[in-house]
Amino acid sequence: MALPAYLSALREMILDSDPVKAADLQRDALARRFPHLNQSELSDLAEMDPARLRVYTDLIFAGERSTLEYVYPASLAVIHRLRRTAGDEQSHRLADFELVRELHRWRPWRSSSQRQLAANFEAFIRARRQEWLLAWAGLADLLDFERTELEVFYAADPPFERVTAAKLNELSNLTVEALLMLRVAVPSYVAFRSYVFNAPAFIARWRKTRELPDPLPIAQSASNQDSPTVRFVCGRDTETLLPCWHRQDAEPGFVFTEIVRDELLLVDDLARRYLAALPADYHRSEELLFAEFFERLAKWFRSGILMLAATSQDRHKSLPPHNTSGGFSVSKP
Amino acid sequence: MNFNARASLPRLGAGIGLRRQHFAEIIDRRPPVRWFEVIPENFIGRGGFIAESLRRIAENYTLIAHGVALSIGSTDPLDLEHVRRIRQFCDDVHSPWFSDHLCFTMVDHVNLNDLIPLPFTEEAAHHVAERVRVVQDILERPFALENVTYYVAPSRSQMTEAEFITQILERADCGLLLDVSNVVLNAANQGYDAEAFLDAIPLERVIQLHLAGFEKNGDVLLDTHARPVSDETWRLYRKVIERVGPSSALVEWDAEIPSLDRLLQEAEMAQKLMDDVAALRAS
Ligand SMILES: [Fe+2]
Repeated sequence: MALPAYLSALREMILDSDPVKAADLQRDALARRFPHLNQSELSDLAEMDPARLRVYTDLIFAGERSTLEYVYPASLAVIHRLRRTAGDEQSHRLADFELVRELHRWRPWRSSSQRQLAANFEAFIRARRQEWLLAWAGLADLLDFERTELEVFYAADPPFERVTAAKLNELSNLTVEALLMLRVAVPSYVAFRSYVFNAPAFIARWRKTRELPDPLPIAQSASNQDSPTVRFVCGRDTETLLPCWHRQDAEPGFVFTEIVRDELLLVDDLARRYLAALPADYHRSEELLFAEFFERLAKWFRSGILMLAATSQDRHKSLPPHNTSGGFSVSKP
Repeated sequence: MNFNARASLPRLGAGIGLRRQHFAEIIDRRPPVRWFEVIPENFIGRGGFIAESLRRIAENYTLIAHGVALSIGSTDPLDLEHVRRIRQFCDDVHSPWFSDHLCFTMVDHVNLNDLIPLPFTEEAAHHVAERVRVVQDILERPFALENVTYYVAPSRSQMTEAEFITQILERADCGLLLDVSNVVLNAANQGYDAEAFLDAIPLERVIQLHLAGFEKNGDVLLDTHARPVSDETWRLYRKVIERVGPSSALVEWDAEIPSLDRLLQEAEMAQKLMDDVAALRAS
């Protein structure tokens, strides 16, 4: 069986060949490297036009570069800035092409999954481009942000019901008791992140202007244990189905950090956690508290951080017995 | 599922590729499109906007699945899980047949992320035919292989490209997705006669056609799918239609994707040529 050797040889000639050898040198090298190749296969491979092989090399690495540009547009813009600041005058396209070749040599792409190529790229930067991470402490988070957003965008649909505007309207007509008895879940695609700078705001601005701020925003080094981090949650907007980020610390009573994703719970549980998470000096009337909680609940639903348990299939799944007051003693305003 | 099952396949006329850039417009405007070709790898395992758009488009249009990651010629084990997911996808969108490329894209578990040609040997033909049979058993619907472009001349001391394709289709008893522009391009790059190539392949096995634009780069034509279909391709396409009759022809445009209307214009051209040939035949 020489086919495996033939395909492997072709792969190496396309992806891994250093400056192309003359045909007879190529033939000897191939014969040593792939002893299973027969004479005619050796000749066929050795006589392949190097310029034509190079067409494949260029197409393949340009394709991988495009995939990375698709996943990490802003991170690559930052990398371009860092390269220039370090005095590298090479064209960005060429430098990125060489970067992708080096990535391939370091850790080849072993599946057709875009996610795997992305993971390889981030690992490569940590291992081989420490100087970039040191030059701007926000880069690791920016890479994570861009990949996370795409993962949230693509994530498979969880077995829960999206609360659309129409559904939310229905919910707002429920009694407080009925509302508190609803079962909900944080779907598995929801991402919780802590970043050393406000990555979502940075990206929003970059998307609008396609220009990076100069200088790049201050980001504390992640290795500094005392460094302040900003906490975010990313869900999927119920109407547009696009990823949407919320800053957690901007919300008093953010309750999701300790909730296991995909696990059913009652709105009542959320209400209790909400009240417990409010600052001690947060004084409001019962009515106002409930109104604020409902407003928050609606926001969580709209941003897909929270979904409704599908009504039919898991009705039989029991939850622990519960006194459903959610800590509220009011009827709905 | 064998060759005979193909006789009953619909001949859909001219269609276009379903690309994300056009989802919203297709859903809102519902343009008259005879059918869309969909790449399952862009949808499998994905939810949210992607799944919702596909669901809504599938309600109103015929979808035909065309894969890019089967790597049918690879000597790595066939990814049966992938084939089963493709099967499920075809079931979900009611794709009457499925196609992928006669090439390899992955070997030694390294993704080459491109369509790499196989050597035209007995061994490779036998290997591919065996794997196609496995794929067809799982898919339980007709499967077609697409002729690919090749820039290097793969091993052809044993047989020509046309002989290689013929052997595989006959051994595996599967269909042919004839990419007409790939024939034009290979004929130019490899120096053979495009029409003689058509004479040498089993055109009765064609269940779908592809038409795409290419670009010249030095002395080589590149299959970029970023340009309108060339005049040479239209001429050869007409000859193909004269021989295979009305078919399902797809205009591929995958890079520098133009407006939906521009794509539809291109598909209309493919349809018009098909209609002209049919009218001539009838008269
Ligand atoms: Fe094609």
